[in-house]
Amino acid sequence: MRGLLSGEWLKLMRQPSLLFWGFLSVPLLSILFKLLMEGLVLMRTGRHDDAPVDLLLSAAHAMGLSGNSMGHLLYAFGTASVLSLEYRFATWRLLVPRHARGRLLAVKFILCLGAISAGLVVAVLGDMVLNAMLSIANGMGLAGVIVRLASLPLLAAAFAIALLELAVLTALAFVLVVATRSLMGAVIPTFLLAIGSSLLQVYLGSDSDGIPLPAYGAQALRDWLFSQASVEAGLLGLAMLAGWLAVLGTLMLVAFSRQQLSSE
Amino acid sequence: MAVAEGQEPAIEVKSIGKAFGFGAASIKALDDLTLSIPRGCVYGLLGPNGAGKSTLLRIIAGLVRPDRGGVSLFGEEAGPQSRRRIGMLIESPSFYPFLTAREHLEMFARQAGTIDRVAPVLSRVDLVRAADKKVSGFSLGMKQRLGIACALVSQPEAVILDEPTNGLDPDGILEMRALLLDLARREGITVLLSSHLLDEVERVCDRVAILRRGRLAAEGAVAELLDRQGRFWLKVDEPERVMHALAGRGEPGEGGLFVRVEEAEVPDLIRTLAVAGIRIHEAKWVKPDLETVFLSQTREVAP
Repeated sequence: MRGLLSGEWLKLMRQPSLLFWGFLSVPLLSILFKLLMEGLVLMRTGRHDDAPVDLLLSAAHAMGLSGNSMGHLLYAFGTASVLSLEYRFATWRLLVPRHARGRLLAVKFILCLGAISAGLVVAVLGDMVLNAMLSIANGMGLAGVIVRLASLPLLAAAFAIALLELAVLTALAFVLVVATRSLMGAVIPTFLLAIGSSLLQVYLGSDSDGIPLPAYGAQALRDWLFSQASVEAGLLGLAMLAGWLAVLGTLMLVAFSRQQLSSE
Repeated sequence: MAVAEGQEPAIEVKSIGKAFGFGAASIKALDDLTLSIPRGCVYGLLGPNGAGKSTLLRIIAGLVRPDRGGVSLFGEEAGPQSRRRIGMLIESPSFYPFLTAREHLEMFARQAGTIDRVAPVLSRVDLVRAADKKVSGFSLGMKQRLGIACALVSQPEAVILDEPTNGLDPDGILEMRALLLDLARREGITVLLSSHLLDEVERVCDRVAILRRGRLAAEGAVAELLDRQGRFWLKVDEPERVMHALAGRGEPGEGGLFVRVEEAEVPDLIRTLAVAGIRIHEAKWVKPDLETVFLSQTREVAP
């Protein structure tokens, strides 16, 4: 398992554009977006918030990037690429004979979650650094930021929710790659699901809460965490995400274990 | 040939059947194929395009599931565990173009726990100078060498090589021939190879199997197969008369005839012809090459 994981890590490291666009661009772009927004407000109005910023709470809110539709497009590109390259370069023949197929998928899944986690850590650290820089730029020095340890569980929970939501996205991308044997066959439907979920929410409003889509499950969990929504709604959201992960995980394992790699 | 007696065969294929497609469009790639490849042997798999060679190799590699039948490797049912004893180069060599040759080998060696074999294997396939270049810049011949290196780096007990000389220049083919013989003779590694180069197979292989439409058309030691198709050549005064007397066992040739006859029957045949007053100008055994055997086994018979 360790040998396989180090091989997958090597492959990812040797594809810097995939590593950047697929796993790091969303956190970096979200930091950049926040910087632009804050800078714009400061330049246009000359005002800034004097209230001290809780670094951990702000970082917990930054974990909401996992629900962004454009973010889903980029993450789908990254995770689907990790799997689809074996079809693209016909390299399953180098791996499948010597390893159980379930293990091969598991290793790739773990790699994607590891890379996504690293990206989320970048988002957390980037948000903290950005808040500190803004505080200094506002002339408040480091007095403008505080670290409330009480916010740490909140940050951990937000991190876990983001990771769970992106794990479901990864599983969906994997299922689609196995079914279509192509990158675009996975990226486009995954993006359409993300956009469709957002549009449906706009049209249906709170009526969309009953629809068991992963994006709504993650949103229900975030609402429970940040907006004091009911525990039941939060648990339902968790069950929704866990259910999607279990179904998609089973589907990808069954489909891949029975797949004929006659032309890859 | 260093075939180990009394041991389980290295690779055993039992009653394998495989069809692609459904209903009327279904194509039988393999039809009740049974093969046994002894340990330490260089075994050639021959057959025209579409005979089922690649499907068979893909089934042994676990890339394709057979509809029926099974594969055993060193006496164990084929699975990821038993396949670790085998190195494979299936069809065209495929690699990650963004990795170097050394990175490929290190990756597979780490998985097999044989990292110390990377340097010797690179040297063995003559890729030392190109070891740190990305595979995307490799020629077909270099990729072929790397494919063989990947098959060898895990210290296998058997290797399966699909068209191993494909893309190699004449020198490369000679080196490959020497390498295959060395693997079998010195290291006792079983080699199963498929090739279209019949001359190569005849020089390198101890045994061959000829596939035709997914079935076994012929199988055996190379010398045995050639002997089996050996014919006796007679240059005589009246070939038509002899043909008639042999009742279907003779085939006309230029200035004479070929006779299908057992070696032990030859003295009687000559005596009979002499008694009948037929003058014999030339009499000799004509042994075919593997190409002749291959063509005789794989050519379609006109309806």
